[in-house]
Amino acid sequence: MTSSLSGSRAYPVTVGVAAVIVLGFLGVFFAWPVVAILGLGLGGGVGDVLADPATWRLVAFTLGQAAASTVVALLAGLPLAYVLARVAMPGKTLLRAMITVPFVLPTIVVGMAFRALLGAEDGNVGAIVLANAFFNVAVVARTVGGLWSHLDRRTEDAARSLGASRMRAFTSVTLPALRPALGAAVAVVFLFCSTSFGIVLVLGGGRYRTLETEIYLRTVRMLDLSGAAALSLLQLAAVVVALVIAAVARRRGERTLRLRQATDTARVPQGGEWGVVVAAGAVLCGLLVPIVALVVRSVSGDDGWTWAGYRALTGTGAGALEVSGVEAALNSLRTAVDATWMSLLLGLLASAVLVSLRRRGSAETMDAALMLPLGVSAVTLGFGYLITLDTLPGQLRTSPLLVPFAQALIATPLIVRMVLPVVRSIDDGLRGAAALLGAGPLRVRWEVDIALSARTVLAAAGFGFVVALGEFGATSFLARPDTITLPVAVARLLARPGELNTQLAYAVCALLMVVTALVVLIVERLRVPTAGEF
Amino acid sequence: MGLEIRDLSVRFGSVPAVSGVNLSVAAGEVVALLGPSGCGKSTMLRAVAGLEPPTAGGVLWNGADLGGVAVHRRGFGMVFQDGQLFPHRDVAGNVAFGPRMRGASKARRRERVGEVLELVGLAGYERRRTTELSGGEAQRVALARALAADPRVLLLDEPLAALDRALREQLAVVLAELLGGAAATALVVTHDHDEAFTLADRVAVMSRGRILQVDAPSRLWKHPADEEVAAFLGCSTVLSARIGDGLARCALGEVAVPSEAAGAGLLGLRATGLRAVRFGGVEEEPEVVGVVRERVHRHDHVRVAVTVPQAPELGRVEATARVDDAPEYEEKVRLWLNPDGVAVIG
Repeated sequence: MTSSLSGSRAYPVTVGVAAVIVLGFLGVFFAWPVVAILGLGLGGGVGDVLADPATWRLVAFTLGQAAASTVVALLAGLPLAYVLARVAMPGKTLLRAMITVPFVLPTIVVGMAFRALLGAEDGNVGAIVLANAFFNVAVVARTVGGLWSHLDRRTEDAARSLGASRMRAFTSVTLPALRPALGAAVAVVFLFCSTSFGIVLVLGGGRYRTLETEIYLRTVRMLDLSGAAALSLLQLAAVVVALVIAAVARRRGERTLRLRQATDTARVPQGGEWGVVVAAGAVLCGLLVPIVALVVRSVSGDDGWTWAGYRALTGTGAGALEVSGVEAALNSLRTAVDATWMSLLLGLLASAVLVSLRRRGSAETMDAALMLPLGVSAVTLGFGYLITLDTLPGQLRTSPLLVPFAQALIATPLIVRMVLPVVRSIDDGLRGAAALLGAGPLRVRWEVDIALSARTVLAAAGFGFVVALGEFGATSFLARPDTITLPVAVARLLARPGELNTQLAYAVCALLMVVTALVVLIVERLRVPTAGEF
Repeated sequence: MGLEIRDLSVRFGSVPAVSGVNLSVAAGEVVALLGPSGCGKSTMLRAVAGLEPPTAGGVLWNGADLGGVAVHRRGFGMVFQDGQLFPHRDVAGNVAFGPRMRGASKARRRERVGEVLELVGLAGYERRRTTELSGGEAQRVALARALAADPRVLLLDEPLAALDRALREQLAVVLAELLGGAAATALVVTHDHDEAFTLADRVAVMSRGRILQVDAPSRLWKHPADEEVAAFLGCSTVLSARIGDGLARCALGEVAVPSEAAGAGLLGLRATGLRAVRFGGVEEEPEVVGVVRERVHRHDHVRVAVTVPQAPELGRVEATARVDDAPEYEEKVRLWLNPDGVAVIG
């Protein structure tokens, strides 16, 4: 049954304006740069690049390392998903936060952590795969665990009572039911791994390159714009394929499952289930190791323990930066705050439009359009800005808001994914009840929609903040030497020789990690349990 | 004067939910909309509230068309089947919502909350969280919330359906007293006869989007308009009879009926309309004999289905027996009609 309250019929003008703002922003700051890349790539170079065997070695390595990373992330993520979904235990909020932290850590920090742990001066493929997996374990655990916690446990019980062993019940009942979430997780993780930039840049050591790092190097070092554009085209094609697969998997997931309250399905593990819990514990320890390694490395120099890195924050390293570490930190904060309010505004407007759209088709199309920036790699985006920048009016071209624009574009899809399910889950009857008690349409939005999703919106803001804070791919193209952010500073420090530069880089990473972890902890406390996809 | 529903129709796409319904509720009157689930009664209530746009016809209050009046300006209160209490507000916050929307002062709101909570028997519940309430308490808060806004008409959508039976019966009485005491104008949707008859001055029986009959409970019970209404009100057997002089004669015997009509007619028989008593075969053969084919225990009687050898065309007929004198399966029983369970159709 539909009601005239929640829908666009009530306020078509407001919804229309919101849609225009969101789509306008997407058009100028996303579609245009991407189209510019298309033009540049197709204009010349594509043929040469495609004919070059080096390109295909690059593609093969990109896909190969992504596939390996996905397998590792899947194997490590499943026991955690099981524990999150099916094990009744105290401290789950903390556990969920611990699992989530790696995902929101800046990629450059993850790369540095594994560099501290495994060393990568000459490139280290194993470290690349592990670092990518480390980053994406959270995606598997949360996506799969989210669905798992809502599966009706009695279906398994029925299979057991019909004579299936615990393992058999898992493979014949639970696993097929989880397939949509598994499919979506695999697609997303594969996507993230094949567009992973910061990790490969830090751990590839110049020897191992992916499409992402190659686009960056060709643009920044070789100034081969058309070659970079051709590679971006390849990248875009791969991304679209992965997104389509993920969308199909997600739609299938919405169809036939019997879902239950998460609290009904968790219990104390029995028998062989303890094995899985132990495996999950091992994975959790594995997640902690690089983090500890990073912290330890940040306080150890050639001659034992040292605070040199932290002390150097007030300086510019060994002259590698144009600004001091503290100034870079302030830049980071400023841009992240700007990006947060922008993405929050965009995300809320987009959610309002999506909720109001009646026709399933148009809602899905808009939803997909909003997700695209998440899929298109940050490097592509930054590169796109770079080549469209010249046509922008003078003030905007040099505006310090350009970096937050790019970061907001990347954070917005995540905010929509968090807020939208909560708003959609609000019973329309509540809006009806409020209206019957005398609340006008706008008052209903305020008293019901906003009031009920306030915590989630706050949590989404926190999430957007850490994503913007750690954003590296696009920012590395757009930040000017005097406005660099912390992640970009790390990359610059690393590119220069000198013990102090390295020490400062590790100290900056440790700081970023602490800030990120704190924000994630707050976000987890604020979140409405189990709603939202990330 | 009061509420008037005129030729109201609601369609969902090509599916008609409510088709050309006419119904009026006088000021101070309680009318129940009774019907099986899916008959369109809830949709009609939502249309009256303004939550569902009608495809044709309309709703009038004291003669004025409410077509262009938005939900929040109608001044109608509604109690939903599942309460729809605001989960982020406590009991007082829920109850004070209506007065707050009308700009009542804080002191006035507090006073009003106290009054209506007292009225529904939940005095002192102000600071409780809505999630901590039992089902019965939640529904009473929902009622208090609707009452606190001083609605011109109270719309109740299956207000007691989510509760278990004992609580439902108890709350129905509380609700009836409340509605009567406040001289409220109310439209109650329900699928439960007892609830409708307890609460309402008049009952409208609805089926497939149309109203079949509107009458006072006692008249509806004794004179269902047609066989469909009779069946919905529990008449499991319909048989033809000759009616005259306050008596009806049929294949199962003679019974007093409150009908002045004379001639051929139809009787609707509920299980309570036919008594089955064992006679053991020693006495002389009674007038009407049945053979027990099924029997089940109900809470205060035994329900049997009998076949009647001298009227095989009736098939199986439902009857009741006393628990301490329940006939066995296949046993012959004496049957007689009980006027309380007999209705004259038409």
